[in-house]
Amino acid sequence: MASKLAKFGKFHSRIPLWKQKVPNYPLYQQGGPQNRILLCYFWMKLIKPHREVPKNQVHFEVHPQMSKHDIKQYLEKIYNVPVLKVAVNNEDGKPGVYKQKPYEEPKKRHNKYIAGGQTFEYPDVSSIMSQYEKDKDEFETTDRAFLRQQQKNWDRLSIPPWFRR
Amino acid sequence: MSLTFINIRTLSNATRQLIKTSLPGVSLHPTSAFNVQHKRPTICDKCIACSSFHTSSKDYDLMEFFDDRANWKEKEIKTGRPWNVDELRIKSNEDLHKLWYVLLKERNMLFTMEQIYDDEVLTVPNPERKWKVDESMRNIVEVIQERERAINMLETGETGDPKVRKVMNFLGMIEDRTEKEHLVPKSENPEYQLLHPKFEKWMMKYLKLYNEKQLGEEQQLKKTKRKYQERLKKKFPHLTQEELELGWEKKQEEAKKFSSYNVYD
Repeated sequence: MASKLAKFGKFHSRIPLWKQKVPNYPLYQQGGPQNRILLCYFWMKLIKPHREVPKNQVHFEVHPQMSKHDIKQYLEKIYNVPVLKVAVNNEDGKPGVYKQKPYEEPKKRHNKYIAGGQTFEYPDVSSIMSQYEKDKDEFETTDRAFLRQQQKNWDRLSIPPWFRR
Repeated sequence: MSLTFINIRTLSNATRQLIKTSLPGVSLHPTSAFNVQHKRPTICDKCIACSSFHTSSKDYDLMEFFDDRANWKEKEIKTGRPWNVDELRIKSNEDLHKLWYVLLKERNMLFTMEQIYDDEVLTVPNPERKWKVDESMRNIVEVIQERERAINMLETGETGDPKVRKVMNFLGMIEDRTEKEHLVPKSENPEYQLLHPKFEKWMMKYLKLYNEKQLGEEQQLKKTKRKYQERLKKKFPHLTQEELELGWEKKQEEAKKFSSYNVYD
């Protein structure tokens, strides 16, 4: 364990933990002890599937260094969710356009199948949207007032508003 | 009665029986008023005082990737400060191991919620929570590294860190390299031996050029330092030699700050 952590040295002070490179497993030889992780650096993100999926299927976005066995054990040990099968979909990054579009990082996505007759549905997230409806109304009213004032003073828009009366 | 507004799912079995025996008039089955589906359950089944104390959930589920539904409608979610190094040093290894996985789940939850807000083009409430979790996780790693080094020093007289040794290239250049695990030893690895041959005469030609380049860079740096200090002296003639060198160090630090990777996200 000591060598495992120390191999990576001191963590970079500026880059967050989830963006740093994870130290590799120690090399395994026949008859050696089983490799175990005590502190897991990996992260996982549950995302909304982009199409209609069966109820035993869940979509994730994961740490790019994670393997299929890693993700299976991650869910079974930490979240206690039995896993039947894991499918991978690697997405390449896209180059950015200067001052128009930023560079997109490469992604790793997993479609996971739950075992044991369990089901999962992505929850309805519309309640988050509802709190911002008040703001939306405010925006619209301010926009409308601005437009009305512009229509009223269509012939003297270049003059600053204090002199318009 | 005020008791009717208690969420029954949060109560332990012991308290339920106590209420049943003491207050037979109160019906104890969930109705729509206090039937909160995704409220996290308590762990303690023994004392009544702990029934209102909530810890991380015991029933694992995929819904743990999401925040509590009560927090979905709020624009501000107030949180405390991250864990200090001094606080973590008191804890045992077992406790740190538990805390790590609490933080890990929290971080996963924050990522999923951030993704939802990003999809809807909304502002995330208190996005600095992510950084607080990251800081406390990093502090845990720091504490564990300290302990491992201390144990290694007691047992072997050395820290467990990989040693840095000097290696000669195939061009004859000498460079620092950290040690690494290998299945095959150096002497039996033909690839390694090809890349690390012994010193030969023809290498001298390139080594001289390399040395010359390095000296040139050094002198350039000295020149810039001298000119910078002269400028300072002209502006502030009362400065001593120590202060001038301190100013040069500060300038170098600032230059380093902007040259390297400075952006978090």
